[in-house]
Amino acid sequence: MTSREPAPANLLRDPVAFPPNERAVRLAIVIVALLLGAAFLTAPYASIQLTGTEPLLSAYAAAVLVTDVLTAALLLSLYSILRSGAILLLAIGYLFVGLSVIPWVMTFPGAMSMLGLPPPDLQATATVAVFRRLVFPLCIIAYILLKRAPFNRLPLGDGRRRAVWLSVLLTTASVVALSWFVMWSGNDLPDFMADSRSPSRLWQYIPAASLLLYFIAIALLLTQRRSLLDLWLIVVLVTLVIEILLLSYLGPTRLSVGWWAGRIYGLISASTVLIALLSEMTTLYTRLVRSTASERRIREDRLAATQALLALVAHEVNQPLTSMVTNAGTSLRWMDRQEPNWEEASAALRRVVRDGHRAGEIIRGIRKLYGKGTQERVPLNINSEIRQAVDLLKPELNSEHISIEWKLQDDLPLVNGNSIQIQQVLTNLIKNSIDAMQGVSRRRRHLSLYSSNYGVDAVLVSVADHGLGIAAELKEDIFAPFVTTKPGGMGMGLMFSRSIIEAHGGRLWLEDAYPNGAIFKFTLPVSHSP
Amino acid sequence: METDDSIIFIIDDDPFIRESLQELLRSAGRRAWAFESTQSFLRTERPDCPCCLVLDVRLPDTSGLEFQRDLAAAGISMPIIFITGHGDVPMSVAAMKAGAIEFLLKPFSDQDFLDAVARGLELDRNQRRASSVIEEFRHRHKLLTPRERDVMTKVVAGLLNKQIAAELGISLVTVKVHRAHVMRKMQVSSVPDLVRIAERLSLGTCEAQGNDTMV
Repeated sequence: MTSREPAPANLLRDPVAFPPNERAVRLAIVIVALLLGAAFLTAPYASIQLTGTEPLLSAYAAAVLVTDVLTAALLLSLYSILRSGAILLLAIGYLFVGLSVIPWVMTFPGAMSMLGLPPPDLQATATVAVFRRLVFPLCIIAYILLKRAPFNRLPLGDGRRRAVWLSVLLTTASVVALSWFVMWSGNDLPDFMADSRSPSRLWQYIPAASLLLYFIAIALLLTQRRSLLDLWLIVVLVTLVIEILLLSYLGPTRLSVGWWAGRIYGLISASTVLIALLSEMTTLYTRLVRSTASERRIREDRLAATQALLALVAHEVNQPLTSMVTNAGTSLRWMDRQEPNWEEASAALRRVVRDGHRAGEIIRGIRKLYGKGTQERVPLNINSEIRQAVDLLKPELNSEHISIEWKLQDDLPLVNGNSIQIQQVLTNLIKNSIDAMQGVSRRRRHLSLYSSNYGVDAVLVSVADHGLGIAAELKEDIFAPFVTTKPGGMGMGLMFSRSIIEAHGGRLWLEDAYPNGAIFKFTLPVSHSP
Repeated sequence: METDDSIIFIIDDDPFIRESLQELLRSAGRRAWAFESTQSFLRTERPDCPCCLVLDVRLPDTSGLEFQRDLAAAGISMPIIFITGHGDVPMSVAAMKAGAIEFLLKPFSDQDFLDAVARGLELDRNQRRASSVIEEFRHRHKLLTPRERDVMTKVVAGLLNKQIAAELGISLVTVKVHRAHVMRKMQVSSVPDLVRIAERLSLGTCEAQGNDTMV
């Protein structure tokens, strides 16, 4: 783990908008394959009727309720962070499906008989099921379509909170209305069920309609750019398709093996998004903790660097000050005598003046090194800066028989920077590489220079050598002041390089090269000036 | 009174500071030799006169404190004045404990510096005087024969002549003869004086070893 590895720029802004990595895609494919396989295995037994499984219904209903409501809650919190209306619709879909399982299970024949309520209308459950079957895919389709819309992102403000509460309220109200409708409205309900177990012909349109909607949703998701959330929604939709097939076509009577298998698939589909969201959040949290820790280290390093610089300045300035004070005192002594010696006195004062100027030059030198005073930044072509730095070091590179491997990306955007300072950093890194390869045989002295895009708004430069690499225990410290592997070195080069890069808004870090050597990488922000 | 043969040795890697200190000392009528490193100081032959050392704590090849320890180990005991650009309390305490006579922070007042130098030279003079006196006593003690040394030890321990005769197994007359020789060679006229010399040479106690340990 390289704690120096910079977090991607928009990490915390849009986690589910990130394209999924290969691992997630592979996992999704494996899961879908397993589900399909399980479905095929169950298919032959689908029409076997199971008896006495009514009590399981309440357990199933409870599981669905909890899973869907939790998913809805997570999606609602995601909505309030991302301000995406599409996610709000998806959350409403999950909430509706979750809450409406209550009237569904309560009107299921035989499920709630122990509650002592009057037996519900035969068609009640099916009516609820119609809504559940149709509302959910419609919400998913609405989510997909709204995602692309330009007005998807709502403005900041408390509108989000209100939207959340309003959605929850409306959804709950509609579920309540639906429940009231099916339970106490008499015989107005359409004839979906022929008897308590088997559906009627009217019912057939419903699963067909759901399947159609599911396929539309899958098609839409497959044809557009997907986020991680979308990937898991595809898995959800596939399980729902399997569920419908099992429920309505392979095991059409209630409480058959096929029917129960379909219910279980339904449960799986409900949990998928939940688990995906939870694991996403855990990953995010881990990254956040790491990035906070790394930021703290950066702050500490910066503080240490500042302190070191202060110590350096203090020491360097104190020297001429000391000789100035001594020389001035000497001058006074020559003057204080009975017979003042003006020659000596003025000689001493001249020394004072000389030392004063020396102090000024020392300070100027330090300022140039640190660079804060010269802040002009202009759009630079980083590739030409790299070539310039190499040109300046050509004599040394040649005398050390170091060959250069150029891997500069063409048409890189311009970066904002101060040419002198960037040159200093490049020179420092290249010189370090030259030193590092002292002990390597001449044939293998390669210096690799890379430049490439880094995300949307930065450029990455890498300087890689095949030297001895950096010892593990030094890796964390090598950017600290006074740490050096060179005898007689002051250990300031990398520290100054890092502060220059960071002052530019970039980052400088170290990676191991394989099989041996070190790669120093730094980023610089892209210039946005016209 | 100040004698002009004293020398102040300065070790500092900054040439401007070396020059300013040398000039200051010259304006105060003192001689100063300046070195840029401990190496060049050790390589140079130094005259035998009162001296003291002005040492920068931070030197390129070693630390001033380490050099202080090295000097002490080599038996060179000149007084040391430390100058430093850092206000390090533990360092100054360590330096003073190890025998430095002053610890000055840059930039220091020229008067403080000259006072410290004066004290250092005074200290060195006294030390030299004291050690030359002891040298003289040792020289005298070397002139004694082994038997005379035995007698001297017993006399200093407070034994009567006849007790000495009994312990050493010689006659009373011989003891008196040896005793007279001791007094003459050690150039003292009374026993208390002899005792003082013996103390200075660390011969005073009865537990003092035999002649072979006398330097």
